[in-house]
Amino acid sequence: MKKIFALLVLAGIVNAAAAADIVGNPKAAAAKVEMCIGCHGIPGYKATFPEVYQVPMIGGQSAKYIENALNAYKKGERKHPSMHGIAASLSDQDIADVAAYYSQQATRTAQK
Amino acid sequence: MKKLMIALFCGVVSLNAFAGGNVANGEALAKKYNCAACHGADFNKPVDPSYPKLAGQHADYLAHALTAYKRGDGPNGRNNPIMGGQVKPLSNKDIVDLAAYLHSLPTELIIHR
Repeated sequence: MKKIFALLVLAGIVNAAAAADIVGNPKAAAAKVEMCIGCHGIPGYKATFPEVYQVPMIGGQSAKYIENALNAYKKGERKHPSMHGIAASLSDQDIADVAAYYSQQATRTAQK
Repeated sequence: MKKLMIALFCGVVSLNAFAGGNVANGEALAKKYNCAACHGADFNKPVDPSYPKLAGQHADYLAHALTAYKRGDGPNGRNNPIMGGQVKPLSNKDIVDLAAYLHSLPTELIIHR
């Protein structure tokens, strides 16, 4: 019984360590969002293909959603040439940092 | 000159296509298709953090996204099993109405560097 307990504790530690591998750091994103702000930082900025539409507001989305979206562009589940090019150039750590950066803008708004 | 006029005319028509989204019908459709079951009751609190907040998002982007899910695995599409199923019954008019409704809601999203 004791052994099982010890194993469980160990497993918990290993899990925590695995989860801790990639943690988004919004401060590290400053240099990485350069590519984002040229479109997503400009009110009214439009993409033109195949529909004409304003690029989405991403400030305030959850980090998890932003990571999901970027990974979907990277893997080609979302087929969008510009976003594929950008997402493919980002490492998992870059994606986590950028996602943390934009999701924190939510916290600031919510605190208002 | 003629081409410019045509271009302007097309611009006005396409703008109207989005401006003309029927918010009330969009609300009815959102209820009918249970969008809030995942995206959250006020469309600001998705039930899972991997789903996007939709409230107040640009209507033309939302319409583009829904259209992309409709294209599915094809060019310029989005291949997502859940959303792919959700958009199947939607007409283009439904999409524009839904987008207008979601855009009309109070938002937590911001445009910021």
